[in-house]
Amino acid sequence: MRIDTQSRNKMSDNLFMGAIYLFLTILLLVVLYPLVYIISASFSSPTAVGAGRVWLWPVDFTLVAYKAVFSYSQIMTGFANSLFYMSVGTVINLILTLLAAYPLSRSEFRGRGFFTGVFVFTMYFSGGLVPTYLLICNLNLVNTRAVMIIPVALSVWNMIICRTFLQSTIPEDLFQAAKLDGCSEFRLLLKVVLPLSKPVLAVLGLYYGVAHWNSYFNAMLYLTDKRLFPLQLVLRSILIMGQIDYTMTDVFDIEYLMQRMGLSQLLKYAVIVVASVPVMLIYPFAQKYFIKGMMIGSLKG
Amino acid sequence: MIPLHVPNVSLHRHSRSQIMKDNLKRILLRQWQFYVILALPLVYIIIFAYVPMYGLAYAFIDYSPSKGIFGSAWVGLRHFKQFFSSPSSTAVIFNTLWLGIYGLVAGFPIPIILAVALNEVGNKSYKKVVQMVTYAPYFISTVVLVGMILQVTDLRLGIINNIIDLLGGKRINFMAKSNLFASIYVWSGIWAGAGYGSIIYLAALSAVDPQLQEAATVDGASRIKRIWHVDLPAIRPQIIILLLFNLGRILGIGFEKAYLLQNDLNIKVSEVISTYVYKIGLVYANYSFSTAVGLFNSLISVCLLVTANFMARKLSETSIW
Amino acid sequence: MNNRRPVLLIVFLLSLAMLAACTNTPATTTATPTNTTTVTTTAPTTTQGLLTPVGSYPIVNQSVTLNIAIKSVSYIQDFNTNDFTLYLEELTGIDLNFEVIPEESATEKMNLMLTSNQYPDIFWLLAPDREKYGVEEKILLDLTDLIAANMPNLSAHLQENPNFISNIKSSDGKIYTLPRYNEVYHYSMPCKMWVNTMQLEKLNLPVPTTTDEFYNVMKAFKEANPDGIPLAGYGSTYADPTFFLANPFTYYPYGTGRQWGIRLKAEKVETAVTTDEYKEMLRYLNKLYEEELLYEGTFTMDANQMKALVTSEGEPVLFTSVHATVAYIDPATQPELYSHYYPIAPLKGPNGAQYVSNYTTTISPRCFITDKCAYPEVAARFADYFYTMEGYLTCQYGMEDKGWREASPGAVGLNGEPATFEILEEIANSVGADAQNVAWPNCGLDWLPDNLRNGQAVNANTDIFSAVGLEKLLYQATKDLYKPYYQTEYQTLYPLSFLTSESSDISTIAVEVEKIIRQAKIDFITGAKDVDADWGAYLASLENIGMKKLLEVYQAAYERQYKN
Repeated sequence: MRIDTQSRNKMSDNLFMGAIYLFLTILLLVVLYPLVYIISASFSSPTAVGAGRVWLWPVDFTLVAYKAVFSYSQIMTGFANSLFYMSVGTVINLILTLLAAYPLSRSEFRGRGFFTGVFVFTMYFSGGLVPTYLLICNLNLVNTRAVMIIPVALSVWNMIICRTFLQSTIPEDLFQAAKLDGCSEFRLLLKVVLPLSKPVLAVLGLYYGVAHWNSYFNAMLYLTDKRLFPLQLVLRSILIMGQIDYTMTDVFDIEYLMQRMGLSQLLKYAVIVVASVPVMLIYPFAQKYFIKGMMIGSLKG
Repeated sequence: MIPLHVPNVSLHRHSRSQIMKDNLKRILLRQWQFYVILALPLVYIIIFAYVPMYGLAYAFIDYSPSKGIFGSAWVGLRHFKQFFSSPSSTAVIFNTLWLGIYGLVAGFPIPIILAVALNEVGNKSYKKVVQMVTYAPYFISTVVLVGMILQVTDLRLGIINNIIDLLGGKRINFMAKSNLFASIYVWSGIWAGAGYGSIIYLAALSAVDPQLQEAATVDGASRIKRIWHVDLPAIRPQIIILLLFNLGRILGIGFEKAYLLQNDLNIKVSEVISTYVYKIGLVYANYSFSTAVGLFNSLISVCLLVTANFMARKLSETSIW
Repeated sequence: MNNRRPVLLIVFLLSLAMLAACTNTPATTTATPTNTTTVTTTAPTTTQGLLTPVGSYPIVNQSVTLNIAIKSVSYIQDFNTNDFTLYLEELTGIDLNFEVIPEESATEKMNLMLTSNQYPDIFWLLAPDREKYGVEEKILLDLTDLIAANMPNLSAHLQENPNFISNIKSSDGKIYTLPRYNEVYHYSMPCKMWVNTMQLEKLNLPVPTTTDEFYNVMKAFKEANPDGIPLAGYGSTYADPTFFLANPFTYYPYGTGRQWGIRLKAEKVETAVTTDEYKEMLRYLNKLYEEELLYEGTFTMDANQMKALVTSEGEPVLFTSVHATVAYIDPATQPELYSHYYPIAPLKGPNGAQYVSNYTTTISPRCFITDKCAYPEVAARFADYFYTMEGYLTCQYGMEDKGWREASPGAVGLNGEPATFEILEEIANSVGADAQNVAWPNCGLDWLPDNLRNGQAVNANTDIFSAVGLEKLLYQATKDLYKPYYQTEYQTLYPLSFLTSESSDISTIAVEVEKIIRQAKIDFITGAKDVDADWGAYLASLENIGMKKLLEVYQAAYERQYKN
């Protein structure tokens, strides 16, 4: 009987795995095609791209788009700045996130419900741009590097995800045992919880890191010194005219507008590649931390 | 009799209230530690989220910068009335809701399925490749994404129509069909975000005890059964929390994507709250008006969230509070 | 005690919020933008002692700083270190301190600055709402007297045409902005129809002059080229074929109020979209659509798709409505294709109408002085420099004798008349790497009537189909083909200033009216509604939504601004 079940299982398992591979491969192709298109388009001549002649591979292979992108000296400063904001910002993010998620995950914490409410409330209600702008001005954060890091130091969404992870993966007995040993909450946090939360910190680190890399809104509003601009802002300012439908603006200087449009056509895809590839490469590093079975080693230890 | 060595304290433990007081003290001792740990994030949220919250008052006044908040006239619900009395407001709210619900129903399961599927794959490099590729579209900006959608669906030059033509069918102008708008909007969003969203589930799955999985297999469970009884329950908390959050975000259909995908033929279904408010603002820019609409959005979202949270509490062990 | 803590916390939070609200006090708060290095030397006892006589340079006797918020421009490296800026500072004796705002967020940031009382002395290249911030809030200064007393050049310009002052004054009759005037000739009639002359010649077809001929030519083309596209356009501005094709039926405006077809007749504001002639236009377009002469993608395409269409294999597009085909075709890389397109003259409709719509927003608000400026007269005199010929040329092209110089004898301008200046060095207001830093092209307070612009010396033999020949092509086409049909019986409205109460009244009506008009237009053209059977319902829906109110408000604004 056992053997029958097992062979039945093996068949259904194989079918199942087959279905999984099929699903994943289709997904892969569906997602891959537009990405390949973008990369190919970035290596094709703008005329070919504009005429819609690029399907899969580059047409009239050329590096002119990339040359143009990198000829902006601002790109390099932008890159360096984004790297800075991303690394410092993410570290601060993770610290604050864990500091908030830990108490909120512990059932013994009185007032846990109240404080969770305090945090979650801010996800849906916000005072709006004007008071925030005033606050930033009053705190003298305008046109500083800090404005890219401090006002966004915590995402409640991510913090609740962290809390949920802590709640569901760290068993209560661990806490009981530690308390019997006379462990303070601080020690618990540092010595026990921190190592165990590597997977979620890796994921949130990735999420925060990407958010920093992609962010431009605060920069757009609060930074005027070009030396502080993150990469996204530099790239957006290069592309902007192409993003606005030229017929929507009153045209007084048609040559200028035409050239801007041509420039944006030329650069559009190269800019995407330049902006995205560096941060995409982070993923393999973060991924190390949430491979299957990673957790168990730490728990046992 | 050898006297038992007992701590001095026990000598004083006479009454019940004294015992309770001691327990209380011990609890409070622990509690202050929690408060200290929570202090920094709390200070942050107070400064950057609560201090500016007086801005909600703008929704109820006729704001004039030179008079400041207290000097500006109180108009009560006038801005809300203005929004609701406009003929399009119902349609616009409905469009927004529909896109949100469709997006949630179609889009929520996909990152989960993707994560579970990937988790089953043994081949490490295949797994890595799929992960990296599916997470890449997240980085494409809205403007470029819309440009690509229009290009792909183009009547003459788009790849979809070219394939249809090859198979002998009649070309379709997809963007002209208003009944296709929601699907185009939602599925392009799924395409862009599913891979990125699956990462958190992958991480949660990685925390599942392999011993449990082995035990299930030994007990004669097929893969499917194992996934259903071991893996999914393990990530249930994450699923529930994310579902709750997304329910609360239903009305948050962003401005940029809808605005760029709108055209005269689909405007009946593509006008959402954010684009509508924007167009009114072009004629008459009123910060109070947009704050009022935003506040309305927030209230609905919170109602949805509270209801959903209540149900989650009743039906499962996970909830936001 | 545990129960008290949450309450205490709430009280704490609330009081914090109250405190914060209190700091948001009215305009007397002096929160200056943090990157100013504002230090004026000891303030002079009277402004009289500070200023030199009007029109003389330097402008001030002691150092004065002006803080200017300006929009970032991609082809200007840095306003603060630009050669022209340094030249200005030396010339006028004023220290110019620019806060450069990224282009994309410029409007939003500007509004934020104004709403939160964190604004500088001057706004340049940014245009705050004058009704709100000038008339109501009094944050923007009334410049009427300042102009009269301190700006001889601008005053002289404003006298040239009574419409100028009407154009820029606000609802209370005061002037809150220093304008820029750019009478681009070819842009005054921007809704042109272009034809692929190569395709016409191939089939031996004439250039159509009436709507019937237009139809016949397209029909013939389609028969010979089943895969061809006789007519395509996109969007809702001048690439929309409606603008060109409505004018053979009735005057259909492009400019202020174009979304609602609003035009002026005998000083009365009326709309074209309820007229019978407009109905005939819809009937005509419906015919074109049904017979697949009007490309159905017109209603859904964006600029990139249109571009791909025009440049695709085989030159499939015969007619296209656009301001200039250079929007789709790059003359440098596709010269042959580019040379195939040329405009056609406005068509004559079945009733003999042959209008061309003119565009009237030639004056735009450009520079504003706020109530935080300690020396408004200084600012005004500073701005006046830009309105001189020398000021314009130096701003646009750089130093005299380096970027420009007076025309050599015998040089001819764009309009065929003797030239007044010639350009020596082509400044990059153009693509490419790092921007230039010697001038402020297109960023000054220009006063460019057509004859000034056309005074630029040009090579009489420029090929009109080259990249540099664009201006010549457009000038020529506008003058030869479109100008003859310019009339004054019907006119496009000039820009209007509305009271905030008026704006607030019509804001929802305006959005709804536009919806109905555009929706109906599409429905009638695609045949979803019948132009005869459903016309009444359409008129009724406009009536119900408040079209009349819209027209009344426009009429009131027009009379207030232009009839005094």
